[in-house]
Amino acid sequence: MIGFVLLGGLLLGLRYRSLREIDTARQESFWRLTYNVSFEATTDPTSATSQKTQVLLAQPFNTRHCEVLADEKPPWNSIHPELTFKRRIGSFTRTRDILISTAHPKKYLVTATFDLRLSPEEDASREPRLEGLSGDARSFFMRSEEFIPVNSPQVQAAIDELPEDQRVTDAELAQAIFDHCANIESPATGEPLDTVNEALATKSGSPLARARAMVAMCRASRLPARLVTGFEIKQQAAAKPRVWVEVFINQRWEPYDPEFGYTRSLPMNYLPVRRGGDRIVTDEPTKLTKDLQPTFSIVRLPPSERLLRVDELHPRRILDLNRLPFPMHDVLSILLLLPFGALITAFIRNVIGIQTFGTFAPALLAMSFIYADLTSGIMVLLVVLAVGLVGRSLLERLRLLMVPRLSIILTLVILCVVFGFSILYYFFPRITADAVLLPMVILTILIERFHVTVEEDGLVFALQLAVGTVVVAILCYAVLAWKEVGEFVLTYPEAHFFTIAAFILLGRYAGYRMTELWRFRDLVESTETTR
Amino acid sequence: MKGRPRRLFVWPHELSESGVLGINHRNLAFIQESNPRALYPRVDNKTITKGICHAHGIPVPETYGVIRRYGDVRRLLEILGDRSEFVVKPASGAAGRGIIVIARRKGTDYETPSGRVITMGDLQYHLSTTLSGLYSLGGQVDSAIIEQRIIMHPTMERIAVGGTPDVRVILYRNVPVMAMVRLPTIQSEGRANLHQGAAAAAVHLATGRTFGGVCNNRMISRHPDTGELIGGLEIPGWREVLASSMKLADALDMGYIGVDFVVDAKVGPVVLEANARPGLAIQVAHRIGLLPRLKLIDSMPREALQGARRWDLLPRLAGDDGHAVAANPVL
Repeated sequence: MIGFVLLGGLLLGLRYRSLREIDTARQESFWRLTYNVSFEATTDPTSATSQKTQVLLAQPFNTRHCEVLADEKPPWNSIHPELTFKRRIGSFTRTRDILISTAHPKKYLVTATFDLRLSPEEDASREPRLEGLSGDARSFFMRSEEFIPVNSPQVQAAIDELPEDQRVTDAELAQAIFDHCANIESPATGEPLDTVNEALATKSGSPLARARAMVAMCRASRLPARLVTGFEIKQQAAAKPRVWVEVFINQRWEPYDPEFGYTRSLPMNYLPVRRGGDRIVTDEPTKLTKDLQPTFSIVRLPPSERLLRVDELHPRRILDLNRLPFPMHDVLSILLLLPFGALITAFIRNVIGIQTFGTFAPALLAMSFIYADLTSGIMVLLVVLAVGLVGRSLLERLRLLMVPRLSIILTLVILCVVFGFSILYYFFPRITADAVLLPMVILTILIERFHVTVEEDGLVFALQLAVGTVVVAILCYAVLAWKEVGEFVLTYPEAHFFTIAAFILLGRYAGYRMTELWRFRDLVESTETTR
Repeated sequence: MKGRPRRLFVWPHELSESGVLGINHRNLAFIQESNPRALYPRVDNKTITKGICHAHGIPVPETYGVIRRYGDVRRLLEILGDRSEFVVKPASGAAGRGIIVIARRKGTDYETPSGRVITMGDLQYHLSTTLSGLYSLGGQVDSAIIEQRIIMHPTMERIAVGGTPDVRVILYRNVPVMAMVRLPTIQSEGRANLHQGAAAAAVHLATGRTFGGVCNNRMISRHPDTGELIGGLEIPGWREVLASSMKLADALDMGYIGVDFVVDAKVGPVVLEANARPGLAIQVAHRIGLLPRLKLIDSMPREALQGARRWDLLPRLAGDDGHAVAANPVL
């Protein structure tokens, strides 16, 4: 029994995994992000020593939903032997830069490509772990910068404008600042300005100005904050970097996007690339380039071959019942549900102790109720019972052998049901033939057993059995008619290993049946009195 | 017992304290364990059972003829000759199904003990349906036995209603463990099957005296139809009953069986049939469960369960040596 449970669990797990694999493969997508950077290296005329020209290319971060696929080769590509490439990680921002440097003043072209896998499946392990902010880092993310004037009067005025009661917690404060900055609109005419002071004063500015204003206001309110530059992953030949904000609240960096309004959780296709800056590619701090021209593109890559071939005919797919044409599903799931019916019957017979006609009759009866609906099933049942009983008692006089007699009853029942069906159809033209065929055959066989039992064991016993059969059949019907269960066993037929284990358990049950607690009740009382 | 409100059910632990054997336990631990399926035809088919009885000198009702094919049905008159009392029964019938008892002739027709007239046509129809398997256990093709009618022993007459009482002995590992006499009632329509409403009185293993009683799973001490006391009766030829049952059990090679006897006025106890799944209501008749007795046998050394030594066990099983079972004649 334990073997069956283990086997069932193993097979169930395997199928669950492969189904899930296909399911996630269907939802995930692959993308290629390409940087094309052209620049001209210059030398610093003011410096006596020849300083190298430096360009920094930020590489995308991994997120919960997006994984940068690691490659053996470096992501960069250039035909210029004069360029040297180095990887560098920002000490506070953790931004992973490619540092390109050269001492030769000349025009260069560099490309870098990153393959990304985007999937709705979350994998939190790819994100940086929670860590506190050191004192240095804290002051780094609180500092005033060229475009983030933390100490400007406009920023202070904007903070004073925030409603007092909304500044209790950091999250509330950040939300209030976000609300304030998100209300900055793009101007109706003219080029929007990127500067914070103007944006706060005139309530109009570019998306970058909003993000900068939010960082400035946060920092002025003693909340560490930083700009994040990245991309929205979607097909775009000329991808424009997007800028949003991260604020350090409750030991973690919470994202806020004042341009599109997302707070504390971003759409899964947001890909952060540089933290603590508003450029993907920059020549800071040396600023020794001319015509630094980065362009970006994002293209969708084809899905994995495995996914595209998932419908391919393969012997292994015999085990997948869901691939069969949809009209078969109903029949298959009813078949697969029958063992559950038998399980209920076995339980009721062996543990509860209600007797039925035969072992499988209740489950079959339930199945016939499913083919019909319950009402027409019971109607057919009544017709068959009546015709069967009347027919049998009439036939008794003819003295026929059992098989021919049973066949006559079957013929009579068929005639009655067919004409009954015809009458029903006259009144309700929408009724289907399914409703009568299967129940009839099953019931006709039951009627013979019923009549033999009446003859041999008396009407009372026969009625007991009949009631027991119908009760168990209705219980089975309740399970068999449960659509979700049917779909489940159709997808996971291995579940029946558990059914077999349950049968083994039932088959070893040597305890009293519940009806025996009633049947032998006198015995207990008598032993009590004789002692 | 009077004055106490009757309980509708009891707890499982109370049943097991009383040593009651349940159906599941019987099927798993006793029937499946000790009765190999291959041997079932020996008890399910009465012609085979009778053959075994003949071979071991166990008395059975005399067989007049066996009808195996439809063609033989016309030979019925030939087999019957001028006999006016006989029994027709299916060879593989269960629970007394399909048995017709003819007590006398009435012209060309026959009559049952209760006076129902049965024509030759009725009889032939009955034989045909028997052959087609109407009364057999699995509905498979059957044969019909025509045999001697047993004349009830006068001792039994007091408690017999519309049929012949029979004596059932349950044997475990060829040792009788419990016995009862089954009494037809009006409800059972003359048949001696407890689940059809017949009554039964327990039979003390050592003495052959009746006590206790059961009908429809309830304890009784009087016949439900006549009100006659059913305890205190001595089963005629009790030692022969026990001897025959042990002999048959030895021959059948099955570990848990019930053997049914009727006591003929002249011949004494004869074997009617054996049963591989004897019922459990006998425990109610005895007011005690079967389990302690079955366990006692399992605790015995092998030699004690063989041959004549088994007789020594019977008083112990019946609880006469003071423990295990409280025999309570005439309750």
